[in-house]
Amino acid sequence: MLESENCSIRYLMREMDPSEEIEFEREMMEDENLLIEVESLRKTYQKMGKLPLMDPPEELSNNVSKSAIAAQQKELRKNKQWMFLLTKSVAAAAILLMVVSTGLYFYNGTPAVQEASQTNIATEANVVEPWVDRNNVIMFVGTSVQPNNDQSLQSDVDESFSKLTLVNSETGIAPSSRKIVLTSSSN
Amino acid sequence: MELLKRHTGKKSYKELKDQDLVKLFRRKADESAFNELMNRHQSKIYSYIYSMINNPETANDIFQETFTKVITKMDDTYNEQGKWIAWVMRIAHNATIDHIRKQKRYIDVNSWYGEEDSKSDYFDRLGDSSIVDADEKMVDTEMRTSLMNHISKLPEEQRSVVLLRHYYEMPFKEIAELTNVSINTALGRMRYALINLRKHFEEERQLELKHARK
Repeated sequence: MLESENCSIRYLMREMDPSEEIEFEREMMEDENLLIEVESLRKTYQKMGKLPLMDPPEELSNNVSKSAIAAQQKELRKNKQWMFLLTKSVAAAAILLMVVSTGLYFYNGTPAVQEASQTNIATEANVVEPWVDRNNVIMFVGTSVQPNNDQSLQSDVDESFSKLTLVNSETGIAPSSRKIVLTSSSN
Repeated sequence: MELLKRHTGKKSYKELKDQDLVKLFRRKADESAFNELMNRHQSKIYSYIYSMINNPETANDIFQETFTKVITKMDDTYNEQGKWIAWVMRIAHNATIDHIRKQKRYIDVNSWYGEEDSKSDYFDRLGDSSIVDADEKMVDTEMRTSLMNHISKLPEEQRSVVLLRHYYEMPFKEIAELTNVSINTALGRMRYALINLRKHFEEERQLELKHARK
């Protein structure tokens, strides 16, 4: 089928651009055969206007409508059921998670476990690290002694103890000493 | 929510677009929305099927089949952005063509129109407004019968192009998409359909003249 042959149909069916229409009308004025063909097709197409518009039987129309509504309602009910099941599943999962979390919380909170956890905390956080300052005073921080440090700590204690000296006064403060200073000057 | 509020009055359904009516039907199974869609399009859909098949019982069956497919496929294949009627028409067209191909024969329209019962059944469906008096009714009846007769003689692919264009004023681009051919082929089919119709009308006129001379 040539595209030019379809132009008459495009013109008749008003599927041409305004510029194309003007161009085609000019062609028709120049070509009598084309003008006759277009007019003949137009006449035939005008007869198509007599084609009747028919309604389906009322009963059929009602049946279609009823079955459509029933089917859609069924579909919506099915969707609702799915949604309900989904909601139920999510709720069940949430409750299960809550129960497990609560169980774990209470399990961790029992005395034996608490003690064990406190021991762990003591060994890890309150590790004793003793040291001796320049006055040979043993010093340490913390509340307990780490078992590994026992021996070194004992040796530090012994050494510090051997350096201790007796004090003369009860207060532990020595009286100021009186000394004579000898010089070689004549005064 | 406000949109739904506006839909509560019966009058407002008429003002709604097809797209909105389809939404209401799909989301709420809204009966009035579906009835409004039916009121708007059922005559064109039915007329297309009827004119293609030329048999009232079969046309009824295909009409029902079309809407059964529309209902069951709407959630899966209909995109709400597209024209609902174009989608429905595609289903109607495919159902009609399937039926014609299954039958592998064309119904003898002459014998069908010759039956008085079928004739009355056919014209019972036509609106009364266009027919004023008995004479006009007779002329109109003859013209329509003749036209339907000639259209039924057209090859199926030409007939569908003519009827899609007539009942839906469908652009040839859409007709081409619906019938899976190029625009030029669709235009060509329309041209040949008109040429064939012209030929049939001419033959009929010659026959009438011949009878008149006798």
